[in-house]
Amino acid sequence: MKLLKCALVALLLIAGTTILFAGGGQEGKGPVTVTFMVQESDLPKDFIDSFNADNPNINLVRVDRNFEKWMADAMAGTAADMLQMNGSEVPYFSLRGLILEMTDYIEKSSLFEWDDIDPLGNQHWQFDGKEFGKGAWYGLTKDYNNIGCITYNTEMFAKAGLAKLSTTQPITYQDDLYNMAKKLTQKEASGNVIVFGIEFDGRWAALWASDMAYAEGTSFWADDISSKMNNDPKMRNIWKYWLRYKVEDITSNIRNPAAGWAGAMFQSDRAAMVQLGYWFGAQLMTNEGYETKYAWAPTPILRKGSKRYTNTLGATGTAIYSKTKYPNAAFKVFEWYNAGDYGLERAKTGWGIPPLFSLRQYLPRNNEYNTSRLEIAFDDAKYFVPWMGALTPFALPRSLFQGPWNTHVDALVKGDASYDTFIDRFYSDLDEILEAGKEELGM
Amino acid sequence: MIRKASTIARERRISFIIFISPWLFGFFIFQIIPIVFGLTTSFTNQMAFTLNRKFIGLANYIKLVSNPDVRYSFVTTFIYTLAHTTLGVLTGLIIALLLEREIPGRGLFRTILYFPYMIPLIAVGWIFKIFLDRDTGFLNIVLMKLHFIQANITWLGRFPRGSIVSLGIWMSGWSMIIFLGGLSTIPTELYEVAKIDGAGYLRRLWRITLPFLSPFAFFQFVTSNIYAMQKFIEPFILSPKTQRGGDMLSSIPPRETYFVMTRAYYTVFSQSRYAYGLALLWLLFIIILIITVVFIRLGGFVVYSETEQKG
Repeated sequence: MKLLKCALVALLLIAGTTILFAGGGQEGKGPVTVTFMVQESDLPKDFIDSFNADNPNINLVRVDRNFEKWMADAMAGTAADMLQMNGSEVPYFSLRGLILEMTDYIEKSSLFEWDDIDPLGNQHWQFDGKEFGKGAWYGLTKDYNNIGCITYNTEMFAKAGLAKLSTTQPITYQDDLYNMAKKLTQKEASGNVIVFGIEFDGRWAALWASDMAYAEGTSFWADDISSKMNNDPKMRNIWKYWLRYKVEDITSNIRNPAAGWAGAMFQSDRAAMVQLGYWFGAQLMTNEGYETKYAWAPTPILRKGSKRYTNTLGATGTAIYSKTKYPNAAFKVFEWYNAGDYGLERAKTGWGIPPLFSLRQYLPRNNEYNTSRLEIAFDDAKYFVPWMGALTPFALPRSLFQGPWNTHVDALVKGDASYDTFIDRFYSDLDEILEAGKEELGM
Repeated sequence: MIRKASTIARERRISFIIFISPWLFGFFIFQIIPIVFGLTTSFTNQMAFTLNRKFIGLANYIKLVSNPDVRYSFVTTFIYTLAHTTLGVLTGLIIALLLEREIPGRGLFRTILYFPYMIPLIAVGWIFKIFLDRDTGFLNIVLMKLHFIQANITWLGRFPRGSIVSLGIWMSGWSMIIFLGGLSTIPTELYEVAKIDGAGYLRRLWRITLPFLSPFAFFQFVTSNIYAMQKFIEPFILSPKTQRGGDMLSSIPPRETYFVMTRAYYTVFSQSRYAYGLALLWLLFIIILIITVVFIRLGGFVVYSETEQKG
C-alpha cells in the first residue's frame, strides 16, 4: 500500500510540474510560440514557414478562425495571441479589455510611420471609448474596401436594355438601384427566380443602411450611447427600403434561397449585381473574360442631390490579445503581417486597399478593369464614415443585426407580417440584446 | 502470515476507492460541477464578460416564458418531436415487418435501409439537402419527369419542418433494427397455434406481434422523444439560408425549425448571453423530464409484459 501511495504522489508531482512548465518559454529567453487565429487564405503556410525561418525566436502557429472558441478561451484567459477580427468589433473588445492597446508599439516600430497609416481606411481601429478615429490604436486593417461600390454583369445589363453605369457619377439608391435590380431580376412563369437583380444578406443591408442614414441626417440609434434603436420614421423607411428587395424576390429569400453567398451567386451568373467592394475584383479575375464581362460603379447616393457616404464595414484586420504572454513577439508578427513581406505581397494581389499609403503603389493596375475598380475605390474612400452599427459597444455587430433580421424576415416575405411589424420585432430583439450588453458593462 | 479480517476489509475498501476514484473524479469535475455551475449561472445576469455578476432569481426564466418567440420555439419543437417520434417509429415498424419475411435480397435491403444511420449526421444532412435542392435536387428532377409537378418546388423553404422530419424517417434504420430484434424474440409457436385457430395476418399482428413489440416501441418512443426535443444540427444544415462554403452556425434557420436547442446555441454563442441561454436549456431539460416521467408512468398501461407485476 505504501508503495502505491508513493507512486500516486510521484505521479501527481510529475503531472503538476509538467503543467506548470508546459506554457513554453519566456519572451527574450528562447523561442516562443505565437498563435494567430486567422483564416488560412489570409495566412498561407508558405508565409508562416518563411516567417519562422527568418525569426528563429518566434514560432508562428496559425489556428483556424472560430470566433466562439476565441471568446470562450478569452473567458478562461487562454485565447490565441492574435485574432483576425473586424474593425467594427473594436468597441466591444476594447471596452471589455480583451485587446491590446498598440499605440506605443506602433510609435516605437521601425516599420510603421504615423503619416503612412491611412486614417480613413483604418478609422475603426482607433477608438477613444466613444468615437472612432480618435484615441488609442487597437490594430490595423489588413486591407479595406469600399463595400458599397457596385459590381455588375455587363452582359445582363445589355440584355435588360440598361446602359453601362458611370464610373464617376454615383447612381441613387431610392430610384436607380431599386429599379435596375427589379428590371434585372429574371423569373420563371412559376415565380421561381433564376437571376436575382442584386444579391445580399441581412447583415450587408445594415451596412448600406448606415450610409443612407448619414445622408438622411438620421441614425440607427435613439441615444448617445447607442443602446436603443431609433424609431424615427426616416430610419424605419431606410430599413423598409432594403426589405422590399426581399419581399419582391429581387434578392434571395425563403422562397428563393441562394445556393451560395452573394459573390458565388454573382460569379455563377445567378445575380446581376452585388455590392461587395474593391477586393471582389481580385476574386472575379478567376472568371474567363472578366475584363469585359464585369464592370464597376461607385457607391450609390441616397437620392439626387444627396451627399456621398460610404463605409468599410469596419475592415477585417488584426488585434493582439490583451493577456498574451508574448506581446513583443506578437507585435513582430503584426508588423510583418501588415508592413513587412506579407503585407507587401498581399498588396500586389489587389485583394483590398492596404492599410499603409506606401503599399498602395503595389496594387495591380495592369488593365482597364483593375484601374477602373481601383480609381472608384480611391474616390469612394474620400467619403468614408464609420459604420453606425459599429458604434455600439453593447453587442458584437457581426451577429447583432443579422440574427434578429433573419429571425423575422421570413414572416414578412411570406406575408404573415407587415413591414412595420417586422421593424417592431426587429427593434424589440435588438433593444433586448443591447440592454443585456449594457448590463454586462455595468452601465 | 495470517491477516486479520478487518485488515482485509479495510484494504478492499481502499482498493475500491482507488479504482473507482478516477471515474468519480471525472464525473465530479466534468459532470457535477458544470451542471451545478450551469444551474446557478441561470439565476444570474452573467454574459460573456460581465463585470458585475449578480443573482437575479427567476428573472431569466420569467423573461423566457413571456417571450412569444421563445414560446413558439417550444411549440415548433413539440410539433417536430411528435411527428419525428411517431412517423419514425411507425416507419421502422413497417420496414421491420416487411423485412422479417423470407424475401429475396432481405439482407441487402436491411443494410441499405440501415446505411443512412451509419453515415455521420453532417454528411447525411448535406446529402438530404442536395436531394431536396430546388434547382438541382433529385426529388424535383424525378417529380418533374413524372409530370407530378409543373415547376421546381423549394422544399427547404416551403416545408422546413417537414424536410427535417423526412430526414428522420430516412434514418429510421435504427428503429427497424430494434424492431427486428424484437420480432426475433416472439415464439413462433404462438403464430402456428393462431394460424391453426384460423387467425389471419392482421389478427396475428394485432394480438401477438404488436403486444410483444410494445416494450421495444415504448423504448423508442422515450429515447426518440428525448433525442428529438434536443434536435440541434439538422435545422442548420437543412436551412435554406445555409450556404455551401458559408459559416453554417451563423445562419438562423427558418422560424419553423428554430428549435429550442438551436435558439439556445445562438443565444449563448452569438449573443454571449450565457445566463439567459442556460436558463433556456434548463427550461428544456425540465420539460423533457416531465414528458419522460409521464411517458414512463403511462408505459405501464400500454406495454405488454410477461413478468408479473408486484402489488
